[in-house]
Amino acid sequence: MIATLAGVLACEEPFTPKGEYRDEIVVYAILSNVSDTHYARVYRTYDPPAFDPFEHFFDAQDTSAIVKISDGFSETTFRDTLVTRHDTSRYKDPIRAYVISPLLVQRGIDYRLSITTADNKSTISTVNVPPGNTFLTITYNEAALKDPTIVGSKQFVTIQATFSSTVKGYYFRLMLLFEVFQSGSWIPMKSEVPLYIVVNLDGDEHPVFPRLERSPESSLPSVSAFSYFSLDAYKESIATIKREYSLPVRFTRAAFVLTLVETNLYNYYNIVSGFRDPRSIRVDEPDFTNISNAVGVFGAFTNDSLIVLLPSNL
Amino acid sequence: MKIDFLSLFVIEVVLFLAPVFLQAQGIDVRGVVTDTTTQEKLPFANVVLVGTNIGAASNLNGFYLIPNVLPGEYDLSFSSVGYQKKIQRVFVGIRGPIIVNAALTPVPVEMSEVLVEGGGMKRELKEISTSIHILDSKDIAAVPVTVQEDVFRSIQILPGIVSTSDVNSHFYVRGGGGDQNLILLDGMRIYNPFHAFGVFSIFDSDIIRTAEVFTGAFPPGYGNRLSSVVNMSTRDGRSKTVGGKAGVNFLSAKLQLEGPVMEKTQWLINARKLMFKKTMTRFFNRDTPVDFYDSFFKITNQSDEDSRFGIQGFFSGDDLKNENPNDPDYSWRTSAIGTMASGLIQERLLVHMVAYQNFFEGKRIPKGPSNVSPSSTRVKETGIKTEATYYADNLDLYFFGFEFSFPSFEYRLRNTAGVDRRLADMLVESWIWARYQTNVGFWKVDGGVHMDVGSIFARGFDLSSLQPRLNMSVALMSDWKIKVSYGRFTQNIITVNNEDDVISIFDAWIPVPDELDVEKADHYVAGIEGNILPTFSVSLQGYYKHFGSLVTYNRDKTDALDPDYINSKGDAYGAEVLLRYGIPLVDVYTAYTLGRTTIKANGFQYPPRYDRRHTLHLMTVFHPMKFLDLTLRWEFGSGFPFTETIGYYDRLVLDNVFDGEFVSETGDPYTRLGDKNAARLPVYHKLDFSVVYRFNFVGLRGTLGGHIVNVYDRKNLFYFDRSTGRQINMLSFFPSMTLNLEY
Repeated sequence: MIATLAGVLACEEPFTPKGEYRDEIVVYAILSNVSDTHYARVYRTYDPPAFDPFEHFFDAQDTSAIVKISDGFSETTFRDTLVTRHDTSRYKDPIRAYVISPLLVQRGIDYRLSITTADNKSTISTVNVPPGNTFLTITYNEAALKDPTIVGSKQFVTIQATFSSTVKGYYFRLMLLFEVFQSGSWIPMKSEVPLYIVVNLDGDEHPVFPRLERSPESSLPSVSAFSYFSLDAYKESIATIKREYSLPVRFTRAAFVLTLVETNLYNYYNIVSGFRDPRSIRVDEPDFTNISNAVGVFGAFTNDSLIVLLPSNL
Repeated sequence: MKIDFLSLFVIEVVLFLAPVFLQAQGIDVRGVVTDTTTQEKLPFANVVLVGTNIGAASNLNGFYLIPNVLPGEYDLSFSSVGYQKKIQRVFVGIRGPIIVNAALTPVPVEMSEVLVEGGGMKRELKEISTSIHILDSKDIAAVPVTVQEDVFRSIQILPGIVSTSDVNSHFYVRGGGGDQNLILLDGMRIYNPFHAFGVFSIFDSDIIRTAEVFTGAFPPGYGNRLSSVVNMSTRDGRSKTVGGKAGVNFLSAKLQLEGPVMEKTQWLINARKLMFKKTMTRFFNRDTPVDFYDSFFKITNQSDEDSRFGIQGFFSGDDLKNENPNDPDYSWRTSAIGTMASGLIQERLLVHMVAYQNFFEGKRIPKGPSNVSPSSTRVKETGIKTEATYYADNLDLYFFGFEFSFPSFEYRLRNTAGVDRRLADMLVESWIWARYQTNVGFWKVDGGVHMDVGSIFARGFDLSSLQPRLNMSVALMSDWKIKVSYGRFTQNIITVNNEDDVISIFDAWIPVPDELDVEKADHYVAGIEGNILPTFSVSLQGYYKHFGSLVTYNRDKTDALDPDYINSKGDAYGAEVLLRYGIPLVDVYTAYTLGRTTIKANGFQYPPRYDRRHTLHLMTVFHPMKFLDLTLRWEFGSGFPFTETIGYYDRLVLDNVFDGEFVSETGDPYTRLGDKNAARLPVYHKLDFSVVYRFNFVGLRGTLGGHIVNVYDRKNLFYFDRSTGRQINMLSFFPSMTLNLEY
């Protein structure tokens, strides 16, 4: 009897860290004013036979969902499309996505994305596209963009933007647009200018590029943000372009691009990248979604730009 | 942070010295109680003038004082749990004080904290407090060993204490986190009291004289922890002859030497080293090439009955050197050194002072190309603490004191953004406290206040800086008491390990960030205890602990502007039952705890990883012969919370989303988790068995022990690897032996 009792007590209770598999919809849809073509990726969570997700050999795409978008006045249905997969190391087949085109995204408008799958799962999410009324101004050293030789070292060009305080994040970039004479014609090209260049103790130079920042908090309808681009970095970018192309180069424009990001995309974008917080002491990897009964993100951003025409012989 | 240190010091000294000017009345009887065999001082012995209700209890150094005794002849009774009672005739004249020292002889049958206490042999501290357990070396030895005796593993059988595995000495008290336990060794704070991965404590149980374990509502003298205090005092060493003790078990070997040097000075040296590395492999169910050592020394001079001076220190180190170049190496170092002085500075004013410096460093050192990042933590602290006891004419006791310490913290890690971070900070910790023990009607009252002066200067005055502590008891019948306790506590340092880690590599301590409130808790405890039979005692206690402020992960963090941590709240409540039965043949100990803990953060509520609903310890010690003890211990625990995997999905990183490019990204596999800690691991239970044979051989006293951990080979889950599903179990059936020789 004691042996039986010991045997019963000793038995190993079955255990698995896997709970009951929850089949959920995964959605990625990002609206922007960059293009009038918008995509939605719809697939499903999956449950590999064991614990290694790489043992799941096919992309769990949901190709029979009905994806609709509504701006409160009209509703449009996305259609199926195929997209070339950049990285085919894991899945070989192309990406089956949903597309809508043309759709000119209206700023400041709430869009509702609704998805219904063939097995009657449905999900709804909404996003508010960053409002317009955005103003960009170069407040300091604009002339130096056209002729960097007029300033000494350690100078900055300052850009100021005023935009809606409902926007969660913003992102300034400075692009150099130029043309390279190749095969008898001028080929347009562009290069991003670093915010500044850091020289480390070994003398190596490291460009530091702008990153998504959180908007200043304000109870007012609009807020202002500034960014300071090093003119040394600007000069170095011009020199690098000239060095890289042995062919004739002519500069056309300097474009300040302001990206405004609404809350959902801002949160998702940061969280999947370790909060983009170099000072963090967290070592966990949390999840984020704004889609009810599903995972993924439905977000939006807008781009605004301010152009400075450059002399071709810059 | 600007602190006027001079003001702080003056305030503390004035408050500390104020009661010194009180004048004593009457003739005092005082002395020291010791053990006849080891000459160790006996704490918590009862000293009573027979035929009166006048008496006192000895303190941690065996010192007692009965004030204001009227002239006459008395029988002075000395008694202590596990010792033969002794009565000594005393003549009290018109001049004093009268010094009466007593040496008590141990009795073979153990009747102590873990085992049954005899009627009328209660200890003074336990008379009033709800949540205190006092373990001496016999109690520690009574618990079946897991390869080697361990004070923390013995503590874990006490009600209200939860351990998350038998591979680990970490413990959690009444719903408090693992960093909420204050560990003191001879008054010196110890930040990392564990060997590698927490497998054993760093204190050899042979150096421990007593361990006071406060599981809640602890007295005002303790501060900066929310949940518990483990106050260990070490042995002084023999005062008459040189002695030694050697021991070996399946893990380590140890040597202890002790004896007198010069007049009234004793010394003790203890060293322990890991000898059998394969045992650690059994513990962790994988190759774990750990090497460890720990050592302790103490020199004590007792120039007369009421003044002592000593220095003590300990050093421990662990190294894990993996042969595989892809696996990192680990290193842990803990040390502390301190000096102690105590004595009567007036007829009735006993002062005890400790100054110390401690150090802890833990490192993870990657070798070669490895995905593992380097990480390290370091704590260095210098501190001084002083406490005084004033013995009033009417037997009331006044306690008061202060503590100053300067801990510095450093933590290096690579965060989830892949950036190497170094945090370095220093704190000034300081508090003053006062406590008063008296009788009010039928109630015995022990109350006081703890004032966190350091926080007031660093963060400004806050009501939580003033922390009332109160313990009260009232006798219902001869052997039954009702007790109630309340205490408020704060804590301004925390550990910042990943709060979901099952095995902590090391506790990385940091101060609570300035923008957050310090951690706060209020304890409410009520209980009843007494003897159903002279041989059968019962204690029932209920507790409620409200965590008004905790520091937890900020689940809403999205960027660098959001803090990593936020203040959250929590609640823990439960009930504890302690039954003890003892007759010469057998002692039975039963401790059951029902507990529930929840943490509320970011509008979300979840049980912490160590929330266990039911914990049961059953221990039976048979004494079939004077030289033989057989012990059976059965432990049961309901499952701990964990977060289930409910699927996987390919998560897009959206690196190029602002260039309008995201749709062609494949994404990285990401584990989809269910609600945090919503599921429970399987229940835990196991039976341990020990047989200990005591013998004398050519002048040596020895014990030979045979031990079996997990007699019926239960497969208790230790942890699981979510990425592979691999299940690692705790110790399987594991026989071992111990041999200790003493001369």
